[in-house]
Amino acid sequence: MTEKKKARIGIDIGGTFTDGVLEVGGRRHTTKVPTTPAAPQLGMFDAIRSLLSIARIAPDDIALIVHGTTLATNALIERRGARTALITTEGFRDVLEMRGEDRYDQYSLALDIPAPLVPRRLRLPVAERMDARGNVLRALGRDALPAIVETLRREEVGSVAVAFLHSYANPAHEDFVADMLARELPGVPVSLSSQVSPEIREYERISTTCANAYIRPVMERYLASLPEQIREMGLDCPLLMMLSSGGLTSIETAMRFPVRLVESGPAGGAIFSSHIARSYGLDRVLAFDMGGTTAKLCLLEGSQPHMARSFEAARNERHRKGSGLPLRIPVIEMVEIGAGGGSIAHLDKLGRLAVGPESASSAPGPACYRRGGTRATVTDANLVIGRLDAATFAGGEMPLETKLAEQAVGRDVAAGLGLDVPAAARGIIEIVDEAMAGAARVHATERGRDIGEHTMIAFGGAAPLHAGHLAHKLKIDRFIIPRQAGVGSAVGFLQAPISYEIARTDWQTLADFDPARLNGVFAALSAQAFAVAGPASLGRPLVEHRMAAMRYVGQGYEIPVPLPTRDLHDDDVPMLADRFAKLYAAHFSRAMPDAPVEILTLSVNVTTEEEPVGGHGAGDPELHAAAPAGTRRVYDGATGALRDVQVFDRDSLAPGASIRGPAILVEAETTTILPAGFDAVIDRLGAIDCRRTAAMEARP
Amino acid sequence: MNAPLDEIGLQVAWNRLINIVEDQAQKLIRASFSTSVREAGDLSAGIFDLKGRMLAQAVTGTPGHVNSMANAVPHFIAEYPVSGMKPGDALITNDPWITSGHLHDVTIVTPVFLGMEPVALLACTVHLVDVGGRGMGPDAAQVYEEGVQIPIMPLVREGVINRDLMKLVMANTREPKQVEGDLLSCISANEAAAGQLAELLAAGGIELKTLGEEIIERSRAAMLREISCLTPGVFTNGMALDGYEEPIRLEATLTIDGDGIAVDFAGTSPMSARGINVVLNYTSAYATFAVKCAVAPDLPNNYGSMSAIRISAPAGCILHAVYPAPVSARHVVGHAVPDVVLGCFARMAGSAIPAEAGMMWNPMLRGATGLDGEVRNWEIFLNHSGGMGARPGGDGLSATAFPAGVKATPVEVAEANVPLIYWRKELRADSGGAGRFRGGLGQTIEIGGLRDGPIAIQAMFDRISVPANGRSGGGTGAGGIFGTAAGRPLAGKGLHGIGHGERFSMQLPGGGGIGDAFARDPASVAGDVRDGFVSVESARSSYGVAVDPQGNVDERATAVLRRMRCTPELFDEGDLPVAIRHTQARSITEVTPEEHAAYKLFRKANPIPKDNYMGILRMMEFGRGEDRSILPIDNYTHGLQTATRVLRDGGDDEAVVVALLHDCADTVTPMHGEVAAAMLSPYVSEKSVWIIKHHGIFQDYYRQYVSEKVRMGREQFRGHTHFDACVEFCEKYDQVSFDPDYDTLPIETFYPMLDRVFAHTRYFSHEH
Repeated sequence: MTEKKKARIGIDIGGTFTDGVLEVGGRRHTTKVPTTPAAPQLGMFDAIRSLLSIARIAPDDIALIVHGTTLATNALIERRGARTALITTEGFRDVLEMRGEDRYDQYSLALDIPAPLVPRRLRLPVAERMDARGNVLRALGRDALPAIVETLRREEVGSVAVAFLHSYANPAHEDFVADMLARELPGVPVSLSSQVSPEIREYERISTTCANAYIRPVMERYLASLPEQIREMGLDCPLLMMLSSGGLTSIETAMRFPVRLVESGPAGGAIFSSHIARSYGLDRVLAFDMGGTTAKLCLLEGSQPHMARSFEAARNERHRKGSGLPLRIPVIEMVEIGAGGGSIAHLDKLGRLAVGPESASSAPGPACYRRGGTRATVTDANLVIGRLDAATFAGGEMPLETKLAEQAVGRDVAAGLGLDVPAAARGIIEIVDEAMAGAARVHATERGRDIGEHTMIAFGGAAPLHAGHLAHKLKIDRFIIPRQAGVGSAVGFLQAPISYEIARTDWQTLADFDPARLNGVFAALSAQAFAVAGPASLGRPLVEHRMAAMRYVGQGYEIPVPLPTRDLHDDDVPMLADRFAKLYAAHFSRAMPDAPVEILTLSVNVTTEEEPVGGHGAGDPELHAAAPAGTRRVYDGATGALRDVQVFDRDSLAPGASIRGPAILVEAETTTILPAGFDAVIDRLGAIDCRRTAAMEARP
Repeated sequence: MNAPLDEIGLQVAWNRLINIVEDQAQKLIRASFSTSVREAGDLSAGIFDLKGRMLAQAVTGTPGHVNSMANAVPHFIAEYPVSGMKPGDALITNDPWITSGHLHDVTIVTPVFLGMEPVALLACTVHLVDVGGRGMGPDAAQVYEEGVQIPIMPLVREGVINRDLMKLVMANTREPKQVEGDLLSCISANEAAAGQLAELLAAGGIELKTLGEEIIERSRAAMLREISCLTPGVFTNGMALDGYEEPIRLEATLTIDGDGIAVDFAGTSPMSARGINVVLNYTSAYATFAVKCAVAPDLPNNYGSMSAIRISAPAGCILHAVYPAPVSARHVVGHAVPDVVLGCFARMAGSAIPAEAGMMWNPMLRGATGLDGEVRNWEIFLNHSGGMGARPGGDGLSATAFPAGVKATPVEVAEANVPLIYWRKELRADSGGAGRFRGGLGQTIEIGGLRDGPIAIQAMFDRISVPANGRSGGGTGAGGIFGTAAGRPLAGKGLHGIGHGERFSMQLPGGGGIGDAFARDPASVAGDVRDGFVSVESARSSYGVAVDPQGNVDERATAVLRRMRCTPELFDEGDLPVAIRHTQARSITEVTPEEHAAYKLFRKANPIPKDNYMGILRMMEFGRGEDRSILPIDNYTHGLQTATRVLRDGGDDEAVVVALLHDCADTVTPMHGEVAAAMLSPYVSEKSVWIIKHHGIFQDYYRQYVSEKVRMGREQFRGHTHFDACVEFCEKYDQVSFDPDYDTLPIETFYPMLDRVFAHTRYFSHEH
């Protein structure tokens, strides 16, 4: 028994499963237990107990627990938040309801828009007004506040959002109302827009603040009791929460800004990829996560995921841009499309084959699951053409029924297209792979990148089945299937830095550059971020990164430009202009000659430094030909014939084992398809490292 | 490759084409300087074959561009044949008659080469910030005043930008940097998409010619299949608008036959002297959009799907403006086109069409003092929207753009850019048309200056005098109101100024309602009152619901109100022209010929609503709960039941309506047959009138408890042409329809038939 505590635990509570990872002495133990929706912490405790027993470790040896949960996301989707009121500028109480005044579907005459989180009767106006510079145009109508308090009491409001126009420029009125509410209604949480999201654009800021207020009581109840309950289990260690930005924060901060916990699970997956990218020394990476319902794609550069400043939660129509609640929070930028193992295949009105976004999920599930699902899914297609094996699926614990899959594909797809069943199944896979490839291509061009220059890291239950074909489509030369791909997010939690990012709008043009004002804002943001990240950092050193969102005067979209972490001076203008022009040209082919440039929003990220990652290159294992465990009949899309493909048992392959595609690698959690034209080597970390060997057609 | 893979391969390649143009559109949005491009998606991007037929188009984009670009490309290749194009070329025009209807929109076409072989064309259309002239507004008398005109010509030759043209354009705009930036983005976006397309084709396996034929053929077939589900026929609809100098009328005739759908706008008002005229290309774009929404919202937009829709309008009408008419603010009239066309669809049985929308109001504001009081000329184009019409089965969306789908500029962004202050921007109570499904609310906006110094506004606001109509008995939305916050009224079109301390007040129009407002669920009305969307007063007068401001419904008072409904809105004909509103006449003899002429003009633009059966229905509703005989069913339900039986027997619209209304006057007059017959006589055949008039005497035949003389009263008519028809009506439908256990259909069922029968005064005409 060492003096210092040695083990760390990561827990990711998802919709269906709660994943756990325990890391000790360079080894990882994993577990998966059912999620307990009524009291999610129970599943978490189950996972912790299971991990302790697998690893044979005493509770007292745990140094840290990192936790991520879908609770915040689900509270928004299922509208299970508190009765929330909004106190806002008189004359503007309908911002939440008017949105952008646009329609997310041009052609639908019956378009539906979800009701706002706060109904009009609880949107309470107060006389007050700031201008865009933060000057008071109309003093706060203090006389009206007692009546508002009375309404809040009478309506039994459980949470309050306060959001005034231009409060990012001057929060004085919001602060005054907050103080008053703290006195009059102690115990009712108050969320201020100048703290939750101090950025220009009233709809996004008010929407974010209301979402924060709406889920705050639910999250407070959940989070406040966790430390005590963990102590009761005999663990004496800090608990940190995973944020949507890929950083970690304390329970206290998570309770104040729960909106930042939305989508923290996928963020864990991105951090997992980032860690792998660093251990392989990869600069540009496409992280590819495919589960039962969706596929998520994330680009990494310099081993780091791209970041975004906004996100849409609880979309009314799945994956339809504009149909959800806009949240302005720091998030890892990801593209999510409705393509997973459970995605349903059907023919559209033109007789074209389409897959998703509707999914059979896990219930009723694909037809072959024998759980009542009857419609043809991607998993059924994989089974029909032999890429999945009915008997050994999920380590043999859940045998599949090929006949049901064939029936579904035959009825839903083959009949309408006039194809035989295997060809139709091949078509389903082709279409779903193309949908993911299309999304990846568009995302890369949006970032000014060539997707073919990336290495793909694939994880999640369904990704290894599709990664090879996707790499082929995207002209990607290398893809890696890491170990513990099935619990990637929870592993990522343990690799995330403790960090806090905050942004504030402060507008100026480079022509009238005012370094003093800029430095002042940065100093304030920096102090705020250190105050949040410091206590959570557990003594690890913190570093600060600064960014400015910039654009040409007259444009509507900004490009984030990294700035040096120091005070800026007048003579920094050419440096700023140059950095912006280079990034702009990378995005849009050409920079604009002598167009004036402006700075819109400043942001500071304070984070622990990344721990050095054990390099993977140190002494490659000696290569040897792997021994197949058998062969399987797989339908060949190119020739229309069945052919034998070698099958390998991943768990029995030692580092250095090399395999030439086409081949199939089977393990309990997933199946990896290695297409023809790719060679795979099991590396020192146990990952399947696949590289293109020939320019021939790569088909499984 | 064998056949099966070809099919999948083709579908994959089709998806790739759509991906390429979507990527092109996203690039244009992100790099754009023009607010209408980036906020409103006022752009389009597409791939064309060498014949100029559109094969794929980005979903992103407003309908006005989406469909008009499709018609533009053939003009380019007629003037610059593909055989003469070289890699690195690009062509440009902003000709309103060739592209999308005003000089602000430029279209740029780039050829795609495989080696040295041209294989396809890429096009995009974007809205430029400024093209000189008067700026975007309706005041010009000819297109020459509206800005610089660029005929079709090279913008780039073999990779070298046409600097001469660029200099000329930049010298003719107030924002040269931004215009140059947007043109460069168009070139880049087209080039990038061309590169992706060339790469796709170079990979082999797919030839664009074959792929294009397949796309066009399949899309056309799919569109025709959707159209074949509709009943063939001819449907007409009209709509009035405020216009600029006088009210205008838009008339549409929609024909469905084996060749697809044709929409013609004959009967529409002539061109305006001001810039609200619409070129046929833009009319066609919005008419096609409406057809697509109604028939096949999910089909892709391309030459094939659009070739099943044919649009025409007589040259010289306001929907087919001829050169050199002014066209800058063409959207004001153009945006009404979809509602006119959708109104035709609403006349078809089984259609689900929303009521008319309150429109978008998008002013251009100008000033000469900057944010910090410095001298600075500024201009800003704001997009804000009225309420949408009620949807079948749901309330209308409030303050939501239809048909343009344009996104509003955030208040904070506008105020950070220019020295304007919005003092108010919120939903406008009682502006949604009353109905079982309420119309969407408009909004009230008050804007003033942050600094001293005058501010000017280019007003392009319609639906002030003529509000959005409801459907199936739903009420009209509130008309718009424009003036200063202090109450000084301003005209809806043209340039106005305000001085220091004054504010503009814009009350945007609401959408129309659907269905009888008195049938709206009282709980929904109460919810609207509690949220302040509907006032207590209008809950009472428009919905027949007695409710307090907290939303508590007085059920007994509500029942009485709903029973005793009065119908003031039938006589409310909107804002009459000033000449009539302030008439001195108090007797008929005092009406002057001028006043009569003004009224005729007004009436031409505002014909009496066609759904004027509501008064008759309300008379029929007096029979609700009336208990006048031994039979266990009230008079109102008897009408519904008689109509239900006729409907189930396959009776036509007229037969059903006659059955429904035959006893409508029974509770108000002993001569109910004669009165009902007179009321229906303009709309139904002479035979039906005869049946209604005489059915009472024929009914007596079935009364076993009256004297033989009374029973046989019908005999006096034996031999009359309609004798047998009247017997059949009474025997099969009328005398048996007193069964409380019969599955009687609700009044909603009969609205479409009422709509159709009352659409035309076929048998009677009396013009006052």
